[in-house]
Amino acid sequence: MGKKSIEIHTKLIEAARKGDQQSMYRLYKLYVQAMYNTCIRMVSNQYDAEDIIQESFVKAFNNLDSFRGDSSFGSWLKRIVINQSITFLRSRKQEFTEIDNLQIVADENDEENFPGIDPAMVHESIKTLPEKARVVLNLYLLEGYKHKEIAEILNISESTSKSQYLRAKQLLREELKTKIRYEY
Amino acid sequence: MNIEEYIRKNRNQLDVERADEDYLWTGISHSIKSIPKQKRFFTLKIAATIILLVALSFITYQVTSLRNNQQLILAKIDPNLAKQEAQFQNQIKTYYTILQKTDYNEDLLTTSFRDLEYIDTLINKYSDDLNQNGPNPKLINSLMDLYQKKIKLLDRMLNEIEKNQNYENNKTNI
Repeated sequence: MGKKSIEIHTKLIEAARKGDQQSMYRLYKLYVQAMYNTCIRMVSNQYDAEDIIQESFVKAFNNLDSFRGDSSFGSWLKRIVINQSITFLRSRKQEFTEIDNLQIVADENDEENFPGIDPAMVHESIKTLPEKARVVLNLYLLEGYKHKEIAEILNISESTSKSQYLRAKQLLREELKTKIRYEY
Repeated sequence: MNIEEYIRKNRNQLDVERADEDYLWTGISHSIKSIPKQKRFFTLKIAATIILLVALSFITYQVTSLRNNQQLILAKIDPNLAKQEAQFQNQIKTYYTILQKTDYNEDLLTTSFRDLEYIDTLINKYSDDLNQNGPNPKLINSLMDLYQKKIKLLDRMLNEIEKNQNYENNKTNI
């Protein structure tokens, strides 16, 4: 993010803090699509994602005073979206600890290439993954969390997080193979 | 290029879906606290004072009420177990003291006081059962397990608070 862009953001955040809805709307417009895509990859359902996005923005705007600017506004907002998504998944009684003992060995097809795939295909394939594997893959690969952090957030062991990640990659590869076969 | 590398390289292109911005904003704008400009400063002062008082009383209530029910349940049953129980309770007490001194926003936490309250409910229930039915190894084990769960939960809560305060600058920047 450039210096000028940061200055504009700072001004918008300051104005939004004072209750200026126009500035809130501009911030919303800047971030809503990225947040929505992150969220829908986590919860895999349009209507749930829409609810979570609305709740997240409301929470963010109502708590702007707790944003101290130590990170970018986007990072702060994304953290809220991810937390809201996890809270939502928990509320559906999905226990992340269920398969704590799942053992998955490293896949020898890990280096396999996928000519002909595109980002939309990958995005859709991620959404088809089982919930626990999907959440771990999203947090680790797309949002940059470490397994240790994922373990803390989801209340699972670090090894479960790693196993789920390997499982997610295997399933994702299978899903992509199916999609590629179907397309050609 | 394997799938992992592909995703990392094309991270920004993966955001292919379009949210219905107008529909979502309608809901958001209705839920945002709106305050008339001319009254804002005065109202804010009052609101801040009230919120501060309520928050302080609430946190004090949460922390003290959660702590108050911690009496040595196993003292009459087995001195050794009571010793272990006391250690758990001291650990819990220490965490609560740290928590009280910490500036945090409960809304940003995935862990919640409700989980702690639930554990306390169970501890009280087991305590009653032990009082009524006498020593039962299964109940005692479950009780110890609950103390450990509570410690783990508080530990996670404090970690989360610390992490929120650091904001993880190295995380996804958009």
